[in-house]
This record gives sequence, C-alpha cells and structure tokens, in this order.
Amino acid sequence: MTKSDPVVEAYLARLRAHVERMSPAEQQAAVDEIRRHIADAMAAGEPSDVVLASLGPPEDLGRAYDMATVFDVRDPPGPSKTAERVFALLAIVALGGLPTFLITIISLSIGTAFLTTGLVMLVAGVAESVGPPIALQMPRESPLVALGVGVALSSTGTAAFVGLAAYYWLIARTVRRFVLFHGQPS
Amino acid sequence: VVELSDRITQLRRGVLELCLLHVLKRKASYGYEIVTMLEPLGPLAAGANTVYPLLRRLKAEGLLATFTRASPAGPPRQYYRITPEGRRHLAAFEDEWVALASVVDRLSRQGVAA
Repeated sequence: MTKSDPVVEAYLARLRAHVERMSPAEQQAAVDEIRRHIADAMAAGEPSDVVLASLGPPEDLGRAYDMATVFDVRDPPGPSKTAERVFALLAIVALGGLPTFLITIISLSIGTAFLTTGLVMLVAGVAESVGPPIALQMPRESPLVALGVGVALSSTGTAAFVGLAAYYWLIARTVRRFVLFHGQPS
Repeated sequence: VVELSDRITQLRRGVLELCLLHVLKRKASYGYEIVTMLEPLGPLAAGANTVYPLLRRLKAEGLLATFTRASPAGPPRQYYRITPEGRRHLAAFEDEWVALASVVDRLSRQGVAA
C-alpha cells in the first residue's frame, strides 16, 4: 500500500527509531498502526504531506508512545533482544562458573565436615557431663571443652551453608534481572 | 500564566480518556475512524499524535482490548473495544466528572451572584 511512498517510509523509520521503551513486538504494532492510519487517511483523499503533518514530527510521536509506556504495569520497558540475553547468560556463566564451582565445593565440604563434627562433639559433651567419659574425646578435658568446641564447629558449618545459600540467591537474582526479565517477558 | 497551556493540556488529556472510552463503549473501532470521530470535537484538540499513544496506554492498563479484522483493501486493521474493566472505569470517571463539573458550576454561579 504505502510501501511505495519513500516519504512515508522515512517517517515510519524515524518513528521506529524513536520508540525506545516498548518491546519489539509492540514497537512493530505501533509502527504498523501508524502506517495503516496514513494509508486510511490517504485513501480518504488526504495528501501524504498533510497526513504526516497532522501526526507531527516522528520524534514527538515516538516520545508520546514512550510517555504512555511509563504508565505501563504489565509491560516493563527495556530492550529484550534475544541475542542480548544470550550474551548476558554467557557472561554470567563465564564470570561466575569457576567461582561458583569452588564456592560450592568448599562451602559444602566445610559445612558438612564442621557441622557433623560439631554436633558429635556437642552430643559427646552433653553425654560426658551427665555420664562416664567417652573415648571419642581424645584429650581428657572437661566436658565443657567438648561443648564449647561443638558449638564453635557447628556454628562454622552452619555459616558455610548459609553463605552458600546467600551466594545462590545472589546468582539467581542476577540471572533473573539481567537475563530473564531484561525486557518484556511476553 | 505561562503554565496555563500546560494545565489545559493536562486537563484535556484526562477528558480525552473519558471521551475515548465513551466512543468505544458504543462500538469497537480502529485508529483512523477513532481519530476522525474525535477531530470535529474542537475543544478536545485530539490529534492522531495524542490518540494513538493514549489507545496504547489504555490497552496496557486493560481498559481496552484489541482484535484484528480484515479490511477491503490493505492489511487487516487493529480494532479497539472496551473491556468490562474499561466500562467500570468509565462509569466511575463519569460520576466523578459530573460531580466536579457541578462544583465548578456552583462556585462560578456564586461568584456571579456576589
């Protein structure tokens, strides 16, 4: 239809370039709609320059669309190009892969070892303070030492698990923010 | 005084939303038809460059919905229709408009009497 009119096409290209906050699909829908409007107006006998003048500069129209987008609740603004998401995901994997591997292994080892030992010491300490000495506790100290060491070790182990969970939460949030919902999750 | 035109623009924008919902309450319509329906309503000063972004916003807010329908010539047209939420919004907006207008009217009458 209006495809043949280079002035109209130039207008639409400028409009497309100035609608920045909408998702690509919505951007396309807006440009198509304005294209259709121009065609309808020309079919009704209006010359193309009059139609384009009534639409105003494409920059202003684009800005008006963007302003309308500010009020959107369902369609958060931002680019959502698939390539950008793939690159963001690759960057996260590349930068976070090795640290994640190390942090996971170290935290799990420390967490498991310390928590288990700590709990055993705690049980031993409690048992010794009420009953006869247990062979488990190598130096023959008071049961209070076993209790103290038990608390310290199990706290360290728990801290390692909590730290690991916090790290995973951070990673999940980063992925969600920069990869999944970077643009419109349509 | 400098800001007067800005304020009138703000006021018009709200009223245009009301008028747009009114027009679409009667029947579903497409962009060019909507624009030509609103154009003769002088005080609204609603050009295509105001109407299209507003249509999009009302759609994003769920007050309007769209569907496509084939047209005799050219690609299919995007039609807008009012949603049940849009009807509720329109009714509430209209009540408010009538109430506000009557207040303004009453105050200006008192001004004349005094």
